[in-house]
Amino acid sequence: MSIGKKIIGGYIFVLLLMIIAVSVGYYSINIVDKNYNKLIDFGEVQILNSGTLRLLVEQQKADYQGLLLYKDDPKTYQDLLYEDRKLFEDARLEAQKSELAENDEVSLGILRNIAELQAEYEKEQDKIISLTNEGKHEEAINVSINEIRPVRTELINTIDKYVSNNKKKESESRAVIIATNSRFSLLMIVSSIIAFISGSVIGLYITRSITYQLRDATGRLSSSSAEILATTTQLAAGASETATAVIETTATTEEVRQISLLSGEKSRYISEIAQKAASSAHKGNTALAQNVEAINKIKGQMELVTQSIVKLSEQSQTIGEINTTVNDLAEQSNLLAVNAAIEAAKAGEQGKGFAVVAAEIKILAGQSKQATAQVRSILSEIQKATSAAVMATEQASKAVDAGVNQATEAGESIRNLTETIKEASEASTQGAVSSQQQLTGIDQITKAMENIKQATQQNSAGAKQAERAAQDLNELGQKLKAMAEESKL
Amino acid sequence: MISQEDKRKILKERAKALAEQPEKKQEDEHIEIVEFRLAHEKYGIQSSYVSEIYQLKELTPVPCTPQFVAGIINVRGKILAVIDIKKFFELPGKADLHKIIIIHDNMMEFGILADAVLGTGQISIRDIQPSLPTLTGIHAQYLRGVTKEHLVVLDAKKILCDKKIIVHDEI
Repeated sequence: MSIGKKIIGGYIFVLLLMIIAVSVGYYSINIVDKNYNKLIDFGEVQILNSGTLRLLVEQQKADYQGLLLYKDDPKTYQDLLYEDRKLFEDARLEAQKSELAENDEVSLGILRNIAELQAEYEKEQDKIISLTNEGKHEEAINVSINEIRPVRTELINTIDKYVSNNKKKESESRAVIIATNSRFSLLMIVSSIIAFISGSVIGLYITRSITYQLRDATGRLSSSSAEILATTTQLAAGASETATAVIETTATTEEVRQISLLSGEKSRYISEIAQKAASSAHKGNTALAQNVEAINKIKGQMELVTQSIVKLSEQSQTIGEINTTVNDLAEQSNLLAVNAAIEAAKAGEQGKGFAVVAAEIKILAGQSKQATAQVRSILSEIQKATSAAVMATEQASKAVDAGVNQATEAGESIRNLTETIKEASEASTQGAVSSQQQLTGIDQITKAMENIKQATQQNSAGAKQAERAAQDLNELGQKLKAMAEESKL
Repeated sequence: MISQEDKRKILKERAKALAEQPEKKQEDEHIEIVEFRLAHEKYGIQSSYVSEIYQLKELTPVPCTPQFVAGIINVRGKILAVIDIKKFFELPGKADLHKIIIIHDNMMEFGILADAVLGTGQISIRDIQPSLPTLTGIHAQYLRGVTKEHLVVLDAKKILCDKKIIVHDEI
């Protein structure tokens, strides 16, 4: 619960207590006032009326006794008597009215008795008056002594009864008032004590709670302000570091500016070189195309050579076949020579010459066989050589193919190189442009850095001020804390 | 190519050889033989029994015959049996065997297989030494003798007359 709410709640409570006490007092004062009023309005009036009634009874006695005494002037006393009777009636009516207002049945009954007795009393007086008027004084005196006296005595007794009743009522009213007064006095005292005690308790509680919260708050305030002080000190230190960093950054941007200037020049130079390289690559490409053409020509010639060698091989094959045939022929000649020799032997002496011829033929056949063997060996060598040549030409044609492939690849590479160089040239041009933009950007950065520098200085000053303020705050918090400690209950 | 000098030399040698022959003939009785080769051995057979040397081609094997009958062959219209005499002498394997020596007498005519025919020649009967007494059976039966030059001379007459060669089987 907040302090304000507590205070307001306490005030409201105390106010309520005050209202209750005040209303209790007001109520008791009202009651007392009413009782007093009653006492004054009714009691006193009634006592007064009863006294008046008593007096008027006596007055009437005096009147009719005067009438009896002073016979020559009956008229005066007669008038006085009527007047007193009228006064009595008035007083009685007034008393009745008062009793009616008070609604006192006992008193009203007494009053009714009084009225009856008064009527009887008046009748007796009238009797005296009429007797007096007729001049019968003796009878009148007789009436006044014998007849009227008991009526009058009873009337007086009744009035006395009324008076005593009234007195009794008054004393009762007084007792009631005193009792009421004492009761309300007690009530007021009790309510005042309760109000005082509860007000004090609430005040104490509120004060305690407020001081507790206040102490807590001031404790936190002092610690927070200490933290703030530390933070602002750090902030001030940071701001000064930032200022240093900003100065360094400014120097660095200046360096970067120089570097970007250099890089712009370099990229322009690179662009020129790249254009030269592109033209060189184009030349290289043309040369390579010529190279490929030459290699293709070599390939065609190699194919021709291969065909020739294959033909040669086939022909040597044919020669081999022919050689085999010749060998067969030699073999058969040999056989024929042997057969001829056998036949010659059969012929005996006559066949001797034939045997010599046969032997010669056999020798020739052997020689031709040797010759065919030589031819065969030479042919096999030729075949070996041709197959080696075929192999060599195949390898050569493969090498030529590889050369063509490599040339093609080289052409591709050179094309790629050309494209790459073009791209590089474009990139370096873009680099030159972008380094220009970079320069502009760096100038802007320099300006911005200047602004930052100023802002940092301001920031630093602000941080110093904040530090001072935090110090003040800290001191304030300490003071407040001390105060809260003092106000501890 | 043969040089002029070599030619002359060869011709001289030949002339010398031709000149020498009559000398030998005068001394001894000679027989004409046909020399041939079987495996690694040289054999000879008297040429009077040889009718012809023939190139082996189109040899037709004949079923249900002994192992030594290689088959039959057509020689200019004549159907002749071909005998593999290697089997008689227990010589190793089938070698070239592309020559057939056709031998005959009045009764029989058949061919024997030879690896190669070396030629004809004359040998004196004295030179022929009788075959080793340790040899028995076929070896002893078909051999006439061995010369100094390790030429085994076959007895053609005995081979032609041998009843064992005649095959008469029924299946």
